[in-house]
Amino acid sequence: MIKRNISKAVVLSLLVFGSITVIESCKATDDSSTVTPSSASVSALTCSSVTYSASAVSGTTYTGTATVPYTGGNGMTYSAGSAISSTGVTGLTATLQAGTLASGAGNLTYAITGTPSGAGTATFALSFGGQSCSLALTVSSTSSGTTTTTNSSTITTALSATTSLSGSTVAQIVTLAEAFKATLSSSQVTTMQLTYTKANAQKWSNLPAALSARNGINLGVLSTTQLAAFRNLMQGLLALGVVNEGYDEMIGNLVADDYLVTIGGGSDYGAGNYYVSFLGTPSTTGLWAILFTGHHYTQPYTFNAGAFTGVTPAFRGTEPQAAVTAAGRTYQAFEQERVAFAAMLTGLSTAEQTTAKLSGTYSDLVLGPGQDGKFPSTKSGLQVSTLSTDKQALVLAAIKLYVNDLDATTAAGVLAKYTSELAGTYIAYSGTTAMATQNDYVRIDGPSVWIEFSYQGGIIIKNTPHSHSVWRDHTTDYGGN
Amino acid sequence: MIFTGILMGFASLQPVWAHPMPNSVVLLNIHADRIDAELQIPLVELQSAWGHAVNDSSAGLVERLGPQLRDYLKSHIRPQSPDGRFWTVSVGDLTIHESQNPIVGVYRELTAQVQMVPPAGEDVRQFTFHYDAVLHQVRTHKILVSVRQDWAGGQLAEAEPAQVGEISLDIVNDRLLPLAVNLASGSTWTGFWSMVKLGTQHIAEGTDHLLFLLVLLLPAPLLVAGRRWGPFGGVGRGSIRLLQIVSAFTLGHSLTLLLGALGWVRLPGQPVEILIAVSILVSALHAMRPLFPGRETWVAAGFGLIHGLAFAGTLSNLQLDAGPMALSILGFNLGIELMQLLVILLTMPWLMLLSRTPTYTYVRNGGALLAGVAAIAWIVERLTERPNAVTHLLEAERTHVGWLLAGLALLAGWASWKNSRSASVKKPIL
Repeated sequence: MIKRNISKAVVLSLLVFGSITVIESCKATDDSSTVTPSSASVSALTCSSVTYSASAVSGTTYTGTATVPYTGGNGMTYSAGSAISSTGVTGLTATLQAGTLASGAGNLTYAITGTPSGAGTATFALSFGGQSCSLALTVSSTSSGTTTTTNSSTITTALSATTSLSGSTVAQIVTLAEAFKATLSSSQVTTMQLTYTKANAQKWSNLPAALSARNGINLGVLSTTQLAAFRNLMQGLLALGVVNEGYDEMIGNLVADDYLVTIGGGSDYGAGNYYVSFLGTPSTTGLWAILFTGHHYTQPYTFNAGAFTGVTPAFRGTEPQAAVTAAGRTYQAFEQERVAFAAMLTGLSTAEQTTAKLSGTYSDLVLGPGQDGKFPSTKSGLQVSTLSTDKQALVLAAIKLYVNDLDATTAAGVLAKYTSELAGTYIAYSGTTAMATQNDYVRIDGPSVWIEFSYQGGIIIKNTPHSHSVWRDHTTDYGGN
Repeated sequence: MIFTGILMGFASLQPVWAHPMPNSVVLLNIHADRIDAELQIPLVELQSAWGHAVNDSSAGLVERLGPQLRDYLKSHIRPQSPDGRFWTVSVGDLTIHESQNPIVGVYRELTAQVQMVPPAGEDVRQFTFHYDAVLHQVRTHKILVSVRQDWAGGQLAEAEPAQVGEISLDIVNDRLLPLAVNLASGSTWTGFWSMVKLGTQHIAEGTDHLLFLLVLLLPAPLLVAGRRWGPFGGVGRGSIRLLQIVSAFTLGHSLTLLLGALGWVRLPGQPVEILIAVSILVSALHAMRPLFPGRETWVAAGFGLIHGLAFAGTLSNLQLDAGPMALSILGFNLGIELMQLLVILLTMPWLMLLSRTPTYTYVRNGGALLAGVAAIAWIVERLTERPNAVTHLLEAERTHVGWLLAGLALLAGWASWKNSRSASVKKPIL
């Protein structure tokens, strides 16, 4: 009982003491604001206690922040500073971010950007609120991380084998599809062969299958023989013999996802989690579709009455954006597209860029999975007909990197349509024209074509952007169904 | 526990295809004259919209940019009444913490407590929610708006938040539309009644509270013989004892429920939960051998104080204003009493019947032993903060009390029949 009383007394006195302290500190703030100093000031700036949000690598674009502690702040608001260039290792700038000083100790934030000229120490001469100090950032030599290595999985090895197959007519595709189906057990056929419904066709995503379930059979359960038959089918549908495009791009995408398994993604990722399904029975007369969908790759093919009726919505993307090696091959499945968009945008004049620039920021695709049929009623940006022939060619070059993934015959038909509609097509972008930093975004919107590319924050590899992209068609998404 | 429930609730609200970028979340707590909103804004998206490296350098962010953040939020949160007048918005506490979802993994977000007050005479339940923080710039951002608590509408924070709508870009027309909020009209009665239901539910699901009471009542019909429990003490005496014990427990827990719910007394949850388990253990031991014969009333009152603190935790989490809080305490307590009464009415007649037979010794000791084991398992669980085999079993078997009751009734019937038969057989010999 006595003990309890003592503890009560302690708690009470702590409370009283605490509230006095609060009142005191409020007083202190009030006092300083009544003095109204003319500008922000600190009594000390400690560059040696800096913390950086990311480490810098020679020759690689750096975006990060430096947090610099100070003491003796006077509670004043301060605006952003101008860029301070680095010395020693050059190529970087540090810019003070706006804020309000604490009454006492706190931190200043400097945004640091640029590309370090070499390895060593980049030094910034900081000066703030009557104090100055010298800020040092260590830059390491070129990282080996730009090329990543992985063991090829049995799946990608089986799929990489070359064949001399060619098949581009619907009849040939039906034969290849039936041949693949014939390798499956009856229960596997039940899993893979579904009926054609819009709902089945719309079941795709840009997330790993573990986070957004797919229909069909996954590559992970297929035998070597079954994988070979699947390979023959996809080689009949996609362009062959072009590095990082067509069928090769698909393999590169699977290789990249296999790499994510090994660096922390775990078993939700990897080629084994990509699914293939037939919606409707393959035929040269009826309505049916082949849907191949996994994390960063979705490609549908819709057929009706013996003809291709749609090859969209198709999703492409990759993490890592950097090259990945498998079985002696280096893949960089989705880099050519990024480079082509940068070329298209940097090729524009300043005035053209101003017209093409969107006011908003885009941290992701607008018409990603689940956003079917929501094309903007008014096109934004810069109309291609206003451009010179060579600049128009750059727009078409970017479109070709999507369309020409398909086998030559199918691609030719689609490309003819998009080329004829080029004058009425618009391009628009947000962020920078280099398509190299997070939130860089570009869109091609024509009478038929819709392509979006988003360079967005990394998921498995934090602080390193990766690409997401969707190709849609205003009229032939899901074969017009 | 409540908090994780809410988080899990939100994970399930994510669209099927989901977005690799985290959403903002707005949780509304509807009061009679204002709405308290909690905003959860992912810093990666806030940085894209507002700059200031809020995500790259989130340490000390509130100290560095608190006033600017509050101004920013105020200018992007503008509820409007049907007559066109805007509400008064003030931004309170700001905190930065880490959050997680299965799609993006760990990310940092800003949590802001915002108060929204309609103009005098305007309804809090009907308004146009002009909210475009982050979205005014980041066109791919999404804001999920939900009601976390609406006392007068009968919705309490214990349940999963009810989604009101999503604020996002109208892609086809490239414009941002406000969200129309029309909450079904609420009433004091609805709020009160939902608290009564919460009280009954709390007892029905709170195995530990029930068990304490039942075990304490086990020896109530008996007389003390030396250091052991003796024979049945009569229906009248038993009923009075029972009434005394139950009233004392009720008095005890009502007192601390009131004090706790009003925030005058507050103890951390863990020690309270451990003490509750200890209270079961003590009354189980008492049911085997009289530890405090004749003083059950005081013990019931004392332990009632502890159980009341646990009840109060539920209410103080609701963050209600004084009026609804007073009604809630009343309603919640009423619900508890009703449920308690029901349980006693369902069990005590059988125990009374059984206590007149020799079988009762086994029932009493067996019941006390089981309760003691359960109590020890709970103590271990609450100390280690990790469930064990016994508590898992208790959780799983909770729904089978009906069978237990039926078994008790059958046993009571059988034992009484057997007892009366042996009594009638013995009589002629005497």
